Amino acid sequence: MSAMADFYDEVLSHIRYATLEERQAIRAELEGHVEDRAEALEAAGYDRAEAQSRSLAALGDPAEIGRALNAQLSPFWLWLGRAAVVVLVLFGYVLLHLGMASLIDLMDYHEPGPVQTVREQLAIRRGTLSEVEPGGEAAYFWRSGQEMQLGENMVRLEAVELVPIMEGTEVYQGRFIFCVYHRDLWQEAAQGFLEYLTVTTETGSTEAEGLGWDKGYQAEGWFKSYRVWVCEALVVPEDTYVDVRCDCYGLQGQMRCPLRWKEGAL
Amino acid sequence: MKKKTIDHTDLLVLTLLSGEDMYGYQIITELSRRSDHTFDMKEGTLYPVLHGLWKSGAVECYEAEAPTGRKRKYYHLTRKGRDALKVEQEEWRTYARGVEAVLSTAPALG
Repeated sequence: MSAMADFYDEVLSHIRYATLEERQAIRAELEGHVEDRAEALEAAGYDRAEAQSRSLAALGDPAEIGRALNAQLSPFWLWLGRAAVVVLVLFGYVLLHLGMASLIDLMDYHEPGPVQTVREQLAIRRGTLSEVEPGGEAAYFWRSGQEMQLGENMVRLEAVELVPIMEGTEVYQGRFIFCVYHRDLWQEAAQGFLEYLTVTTETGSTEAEGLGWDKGYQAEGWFKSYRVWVCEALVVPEDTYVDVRCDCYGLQGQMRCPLRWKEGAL
Repeated sequence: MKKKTIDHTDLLVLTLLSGEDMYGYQIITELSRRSDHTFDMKEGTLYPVLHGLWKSGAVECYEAEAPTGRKRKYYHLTRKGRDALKVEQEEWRTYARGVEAVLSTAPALG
């Protein structure tokens, strides 16, 4: 078998202008020829090894065969084929980048209004709303990002703003900015969750109600895939956390959100 | 008799294929048999000839299963090949007539 492999390798070593498929085809045909002759010799009484050896010898000089085959092949078509592959790869690369650019354009598409581009929609799922900023009278402000899951929707506490209700007092109007979004970017966020959201302070001084859809800060995302809601509650420095609860559509969720008095001081 | 080198290999291969489709080893054995072993070519050199004929469109090839189950590559004479064969045959006959005409003028050798 080694002598046969060496023979075919010698033939192919003299063939420069052939594709891999052509080389394999040439090898297969020569192997078939040797096998055909060997079968005839075995039928005439030779043993297998002798038959193969004689068959191989009958083929002739492998170098001569290889050179003669190479003379029949044209480098033009080989290089044309390789050039075509390069062109296709480059074309695919350009298309990929054009496609990526188009996708990026799509991600920046937005309807009039704040925080409605796809990129910002995705940012919501990774972090807090970018345009939520403290008001001029706020004494404390921090971004939270703490969230809880209710079915296929997420309720996230985006940010907290504390505004003194009266100068000289340590009682603050706490504005808890929530965002609810559907886990599927293209699905509309549930509206009811925010209406049934309650915020209870540690000292239980108050239980806030949502401001209502037509009051306070509100926004809707692209295809209404997220909604923003503000709950207000009075908080005092003794409150180290608030409990956020939601009971809606048979789904219940709750989370305890710490009040960051130190980090949030403005 | 001294074995002759083949100068008109294409002509001989095309002639064989004009009768039936053949595979490589079969072409070799038929060539030897029909020429009464006058033409015994180095078997490996048949394949460059076949490749040249395929490239020119004179033959086309296909695979068929041998009795042993192996795949065999068969060659088939195309219409273009038949036209080429007619031309080659005419050229050979003209050549042969010319040679014979010269030989017939030579004195008989003892």
